[in-house]
Amino acid sequence: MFYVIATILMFFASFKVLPQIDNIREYDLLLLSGTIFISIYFFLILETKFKKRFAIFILVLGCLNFIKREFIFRQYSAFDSLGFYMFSLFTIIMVFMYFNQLLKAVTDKSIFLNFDFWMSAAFLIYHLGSFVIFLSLYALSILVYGVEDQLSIGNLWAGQNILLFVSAICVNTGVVWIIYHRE
Amino acid sequence: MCKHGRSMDNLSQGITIVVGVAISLAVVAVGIISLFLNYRNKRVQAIQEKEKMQAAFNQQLLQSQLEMQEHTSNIISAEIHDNVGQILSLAKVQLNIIDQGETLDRSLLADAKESVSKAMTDLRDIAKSLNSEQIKLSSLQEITELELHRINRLGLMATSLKTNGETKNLQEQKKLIIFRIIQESLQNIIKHSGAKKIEIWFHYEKDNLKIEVVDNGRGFDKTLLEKKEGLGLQNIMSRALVIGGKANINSVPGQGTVITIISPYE
Repeated sequence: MFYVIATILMFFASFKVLPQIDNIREYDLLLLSGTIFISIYFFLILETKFKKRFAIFILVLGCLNFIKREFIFRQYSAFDSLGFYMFSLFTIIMVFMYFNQLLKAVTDKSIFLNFDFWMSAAFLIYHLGSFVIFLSLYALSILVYGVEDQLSIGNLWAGQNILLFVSAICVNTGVVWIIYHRE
Repeated sequence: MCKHGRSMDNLSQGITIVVGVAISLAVVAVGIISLFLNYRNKRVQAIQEKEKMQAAFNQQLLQSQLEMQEHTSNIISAEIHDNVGQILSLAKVQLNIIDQGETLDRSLLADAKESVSKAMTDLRDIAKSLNSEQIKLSSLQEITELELHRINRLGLMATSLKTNGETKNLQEQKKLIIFRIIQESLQNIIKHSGAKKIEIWFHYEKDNLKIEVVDNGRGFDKTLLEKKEGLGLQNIMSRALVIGGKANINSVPGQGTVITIISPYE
């Protein structure tokens, strides 16, 4: 299921990989869908009421942010650095909540057979690294003057993509590990 | 151009710093995950250790129960043979004499009746000790007292039980294991010490019950314990460890032995 959704998303995203097209709104949609997916995911795996409420809070916050940008202030021109930064930060907090939950209910069953562990570890690697990139993107965008600068700022995205790649490897390793060891 | 060039430098520098920090933070994330796994492994090990201890405790409990049953059977067998059997034989002889006599000897008949009722009392005592519920319902002190009473009846040595502090209850399973330790200590004293006097002390301390089994026998060389030759004594110490307590054996040749058992209440 995970791979099917990822493939469909990649397919649609590939139509937007054109440097001249303004894709700010697509990024807003990505932030919204990411927030919905991650908050529901953690809502399902977290156990205590407080932690579940926190996941709902993130979901509501993400939706409100989207409504504010798209329908109230109509901020189509600038990348939502702060939104992405907050999203990453809250994801990190939810990962720590999940780790805390795992430590509270330790069993002798191998943690490596738990897909949620691999997924959360991947989230942690990706979001702990990339929240700095999201946070600084707006500040660095002020220094952009021309096409050359824009290409240069692409290095930031390259750094972010490296993190994305590492976290994807983490999830895939987990999937292979679980399949191999279950057999 | 110059201004643009400077801003370009600043931008490149900024991007390098940000990417560097981001990758460093990702490395930190990997470190956090490693710490998490390491901490979790330690907790898993602690749980496994606890399970092992619990298994050892259960095994020891079962063994103690079996040994107690065996011990009780031996006592009953000896009591029936040496005590009840003898009394009933005497009663039979008395009844035979009455039967063969021409006149009814009332005093002999009274003696025979007394013998039979004594045998009945002894049988009741035996039935009581056979009942495993009796051990569960009685306190450790009460069942120890019964054990000492039994030794007293052998007439080989004098026994006494003394208490210090306010009586507190022990966990059911711990009670059984401690009682088995006391039984083992008493058996050792009877078999090997040649003592004339046994004294048992129950010290009810704040968190622990401290029991001292003191005898005035011949004692022994403590190197026996180090050489692991005294298996019964080794058993006492390992059992005490299983219930989360400890046992200490102090002995000087010619001056008797003191076995100290310390066990937490919970």
